[in-house]
Amino acid sequence: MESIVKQVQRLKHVYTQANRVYLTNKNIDRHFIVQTIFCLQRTPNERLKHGLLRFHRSRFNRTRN
Amino acid sequence: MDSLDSIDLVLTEQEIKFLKELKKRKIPFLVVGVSAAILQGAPLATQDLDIWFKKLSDPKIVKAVKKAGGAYVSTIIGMMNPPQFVGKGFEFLDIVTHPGGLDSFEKEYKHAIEIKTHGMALKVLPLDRIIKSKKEANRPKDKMALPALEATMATLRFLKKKKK
Repeated sequence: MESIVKQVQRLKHVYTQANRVYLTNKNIDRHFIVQTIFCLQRTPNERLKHGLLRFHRSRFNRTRN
Repeated sequence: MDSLDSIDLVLTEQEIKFLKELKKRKIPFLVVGVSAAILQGAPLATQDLDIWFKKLSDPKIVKAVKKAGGAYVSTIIGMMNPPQFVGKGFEFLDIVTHPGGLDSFEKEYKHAIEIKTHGMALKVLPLDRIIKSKKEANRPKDKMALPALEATMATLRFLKKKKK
């Protein structure tokens, strides 16, 4: 588990970077920039974990075949 | 980090086996769509993994899916069903036949990027091409994904520049 101090440092880093990206691309939604930077800190496997809705399968209860 | 940490397998066992079989048999394919964007860091969500094959009629694909415990159902004349894989663990694997706004498979494959996950390197359609294809498709769900895709593109470009 990441310590609180480390979490705060990471947040600072993410938002500083997001602001820099935003300043050069003001037509882009800042929220998505922040979310992207968080995503980029994950491994591809972790990105899939967060992005694939299949873990909420019971909630969606989708069956197709 | 979070509650998802306890989950090891992201793709189904069958999907992993199938993708590995495709690679083993040297069947050219590309991961496209939102799942490809997620692999590159886009903050989006989807259910399916979209696959684009160079040649869907390649008999090696049928062999690979069989080996992974599924089956392939091609389009049946008069039924208008899209070609798809069936079987346990294949519910979320989609076949893309004609992605809009893109060049030929060969051209796109040449410029694809490789991302390692689940112990294999997957060829993935780059973000700028996903954006092009989403703009061309222009369905409500494509329009919804665009702001996040464009933010990801801008962020990646910025970070790349910074590295240089």
